[in-house]
Amino acid sequence: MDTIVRRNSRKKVGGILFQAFAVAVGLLVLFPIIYCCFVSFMKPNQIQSIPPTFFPREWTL
Amino acid sequence: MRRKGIARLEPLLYLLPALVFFVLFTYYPFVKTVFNSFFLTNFMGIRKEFVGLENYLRILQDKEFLAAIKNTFIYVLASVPLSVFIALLLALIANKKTRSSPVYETMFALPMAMSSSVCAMIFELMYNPSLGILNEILGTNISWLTDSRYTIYSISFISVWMNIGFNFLFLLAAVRNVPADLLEAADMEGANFFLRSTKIILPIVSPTVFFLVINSLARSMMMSGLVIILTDGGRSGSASTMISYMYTQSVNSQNYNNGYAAAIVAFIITFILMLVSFGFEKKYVHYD
Repeated sequence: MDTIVRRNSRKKVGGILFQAFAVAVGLLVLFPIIYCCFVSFMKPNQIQSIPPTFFPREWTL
Repeated sequence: MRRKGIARLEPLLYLLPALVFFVLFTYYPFVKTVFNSFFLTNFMGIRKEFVGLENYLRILQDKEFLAAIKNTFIYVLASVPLSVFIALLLALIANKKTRSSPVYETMFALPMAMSSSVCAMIFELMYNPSLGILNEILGTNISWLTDSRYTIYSISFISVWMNIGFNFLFLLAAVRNVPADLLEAADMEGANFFLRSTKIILPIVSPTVFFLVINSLARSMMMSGLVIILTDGGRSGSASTMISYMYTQSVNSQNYNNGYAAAIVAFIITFILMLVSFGFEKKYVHYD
């Protein structure tokens, strides 16, 4: 009984880890779009700053 | 008797409007381009003098066109297999239906929804040597779109990214249609993920893979938009493809002599590649 419960919980954890991995791959695929979205909220001087940054320092519409 | 004749004619009449448009917008321009390619034309594209194969001989000695042929092959070889392979990997990841699978399925398919001009804008910013995030992440200082060593590969990467979504959707449908009993039997035999993928899933989805390769091949051979938007043909044509060469010769320089001949050479090369691909179909694609 204990072995079955342990196996089930291991399967559940494995499933959750796999789904997290799949979402991470999805984020990697969407990286250009996500980056573009963040850039769209940056102030012009931050877009033209060197080195470039990923997250907006100050969010602006 | 008369009714039978009308019944036979009816389906053809339904096809007629589509056929008229097909002939008008596909075959007629093609035949006219073939015909015009044997003539010297003026800057309006109007035929002036019959010159036989002279236009072909001229562009086949033009270094820029030869570079365009080479670039097109590099582009096709870099983008077609990679986009199908990555999409297949993503389809294998998304194969199992779970509670969160619609989330990552959408994520994988989303690049399909981007137009090439929007993608060009996004990647133009990412590829910028000083302001772009790519050099920052990689710790490099490469001019991705202006250095002739990297331009065509950078454009191929954009194309791979754009095609992933389309290829993924087709492959996901194919992978999910693999009979479950076959996979269960493989599991019982102790087959791991790699064996299951290569020995069971890949042969079964091979018709879909073949369709995607042929489709990507035809579209890649005709690619010009990204090159024209991002590099305007590249520095001294270093990134131009056959179709972007045709476009710049015809539209920018009004040199229709080269433009017509380039279009036909591009068609012939694509046609030969298609024939070769269909040769592979008999050997590697399984329809049973």
